[in-house]
Amino acid sequence: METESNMNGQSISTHKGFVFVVGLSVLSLYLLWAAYGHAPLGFGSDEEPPAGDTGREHSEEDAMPAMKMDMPAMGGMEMGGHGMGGGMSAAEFRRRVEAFVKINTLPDGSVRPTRQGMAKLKAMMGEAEEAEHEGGGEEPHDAKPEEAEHAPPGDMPGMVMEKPGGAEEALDEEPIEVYIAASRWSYEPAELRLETGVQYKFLMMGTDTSHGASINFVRASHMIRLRANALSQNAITFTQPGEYLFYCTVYCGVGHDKMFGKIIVE
Amino acid sequence: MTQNVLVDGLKKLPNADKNLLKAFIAMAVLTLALGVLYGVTNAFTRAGFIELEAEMAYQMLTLHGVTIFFYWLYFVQAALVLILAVVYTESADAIAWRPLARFGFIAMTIGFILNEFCILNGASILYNAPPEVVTEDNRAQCAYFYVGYLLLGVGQFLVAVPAIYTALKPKLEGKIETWSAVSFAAVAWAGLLIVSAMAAINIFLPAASWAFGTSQTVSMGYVMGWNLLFHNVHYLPLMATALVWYVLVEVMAGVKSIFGRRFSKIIFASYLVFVPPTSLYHMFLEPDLSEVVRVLGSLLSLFISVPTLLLFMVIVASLEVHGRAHGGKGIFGWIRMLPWGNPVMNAVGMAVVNLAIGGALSFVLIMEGLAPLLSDTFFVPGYFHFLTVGTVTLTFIAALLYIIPALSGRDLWNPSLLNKIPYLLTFGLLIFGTAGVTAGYMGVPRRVFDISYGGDAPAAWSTIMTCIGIGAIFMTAALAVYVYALTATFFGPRRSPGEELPGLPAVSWGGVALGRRTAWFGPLSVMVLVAGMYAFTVLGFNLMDGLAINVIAGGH
Repeated sequence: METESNMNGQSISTHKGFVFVVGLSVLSLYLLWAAYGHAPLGFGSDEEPPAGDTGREHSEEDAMPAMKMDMPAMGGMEMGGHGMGGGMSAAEFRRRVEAFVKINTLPDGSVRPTRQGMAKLKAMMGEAEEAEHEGGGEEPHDAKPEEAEHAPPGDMPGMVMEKPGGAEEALDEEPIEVYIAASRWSYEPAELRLETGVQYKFLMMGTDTSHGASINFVRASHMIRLRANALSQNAITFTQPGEYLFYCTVYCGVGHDKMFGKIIVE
Repeated sequence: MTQNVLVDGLKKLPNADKNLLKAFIAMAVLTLALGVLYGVTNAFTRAGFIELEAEMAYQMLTLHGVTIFFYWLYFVQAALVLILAVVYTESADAIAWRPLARFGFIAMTIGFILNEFCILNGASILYNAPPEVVTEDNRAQCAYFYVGYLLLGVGQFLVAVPAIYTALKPKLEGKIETWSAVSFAAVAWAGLLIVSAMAAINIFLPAASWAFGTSQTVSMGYVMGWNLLFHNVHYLPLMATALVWYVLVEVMAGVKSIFGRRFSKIIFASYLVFVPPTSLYHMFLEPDLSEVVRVLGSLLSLFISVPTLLLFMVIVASLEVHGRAHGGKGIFGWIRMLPWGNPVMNAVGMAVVNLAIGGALSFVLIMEGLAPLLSDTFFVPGYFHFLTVGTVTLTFIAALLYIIPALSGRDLWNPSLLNKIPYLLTFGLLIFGTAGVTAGYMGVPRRVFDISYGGDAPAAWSTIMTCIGIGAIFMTAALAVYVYALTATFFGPRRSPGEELPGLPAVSWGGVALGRRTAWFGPLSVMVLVAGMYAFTVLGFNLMDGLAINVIAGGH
């Protein structure tokens, strides 16, 4: 395919510039993204993007930067179940999950997170942390900033239930926290009962290795990756009742197929 | 047949070069055969046609990925890059620094054996081999598995360097002033091979060190390192495919680029510009990827197809202009005049169709907003088989249909049957790919063999996976015929000395007055492709918006 120059005439279709422009026509896909409000630079979105955000919605990616909870970048992570060097450790997370399940388990074995349960959990965790402080234990480095954010100014984490009036109202507006620990090869808890129209904050972690916690809605799924020992948060509101499968979509070993749970939305 | 630079060049090579190239091609065909065998086993398992224990199923999946993605594609690329460098560089009469390339072959072969052995002995950690799925039980096997990958990287490097020097040597010796576009592209390709080899060593060396216990930890930078490497190693074959089309079109039609070699060189060079920076879209689901990287990733990803589309239009416009000069009427008339009696022509034709389908689908994944819908689902294998099998593999096999007879001095086995195989393969791919993409949109995960989830999964999932198995039957049949044909051509009866091989049908469109240069087929094809990209993206957005869930920025 070397040059041949014995040509007599030329239409625009064989101009190099035209060919180049047609080759770039794929870039027009950006306009489609914009039409759906997903343009990376924010064009086409109806909403005012918050500082540092691009104004997109319906995507957990939006939440991801906020999900980090002071977690280090991936390069700072270590393998083999070692600590994270910041944020909530896997052990701390597992403790929270155990308490969360204990507080919210129904007689049928499923777990129904509630605001009361959330406040109780915060109280329990606050007490435990306080005890750790008094005992001269390791400086806690879990979800404190987030809890402080939830609590009214001047409040102590874990004391929300004791606050009168205004604080309770503030609590009512908060999303209900849902804890899920993923480890080879199960979820804890594996069956959740939630309500439609209520915003839940899913706090999830792969406590041994990376896992997925994707949710299926029959017609399609919402894929979620959990990296090892890294806390992931997704603010999720279910809009229709039903039973939804959640399942691991990141290969985690030979038992990968057995890793699934159920979300019953009422 | 008169202008078969490729075949004539191969025949003139010294026997030592021919033997080396034959060795690479033999390993390529072997790995293709094994990879297909492992692949159909996977497809049948997923379809429920056969049952395998989970450990065996993941072993097969690992074997399939490693064997076909790394070893088939890289053995055949090693042969092709050396061939194009030595045949298409004027005054290059032999592969320079041949011993290095021989060591490269040895390293890649040992790497292959090591990888297969380790997987069969428990290192079923998939082809991306994240250290975090390594257990104490298989740590030793995984350590040697990483060594296998390291040897592949080293081998790749040792092949790419002689390829570059083969093209460079006549220039350094003052025998030529400029490279042909093919020589230039071969050097660019070899350069990217070296970059990929370095990237491989960069991630697999620490992983091996950790697995052997000589270092205590392995950074989670592995995930990012893998994504960067993976991006390069799956675009390299695509660049090579476009280059092989460029070469084969001249072989089959005697057509030279109407845009000039300089324009072609610029396009080939643009792969180096566009490919490495567009790797970010593989990481859209990573929880701690910054917003800046997400935005940048989506924007850059839009450019990924630009070099291939430009090259496609150069090739097609050159053919169309020449075809019209030979009496082809309208936008499509020249297509009928192509040498469709040549199995290579049929393979290249179907490879283009498969690239269009796979390309249109792939652009859904470069949109970070759609990553939560489709990443990690069966959509991914559903679309990429159009590219890896239907485009890249089919093109490389097409090249081998010329190369093996030229190197072995034997007739191509059953060309008339081989004319039909690309259509069989594409038929199988259409079933496999349509089912796979549908399964992906429905949320069927990839890399899961039992998708019943205790009866909680939608019933339609298993039905759609049955179609995967059916598609795989046709794909396997087509690839098995190709493997047999390549092997039979290798070992078939040799022609007596001095007797010419009959060659494959070709047309001779070069060297004529072209008249008015008009070529609308290429731009029209690109418009159809873009329309397909729009359609699949719209489908994705609509499905996402229809989910019974709102996932929003929250938690604070």
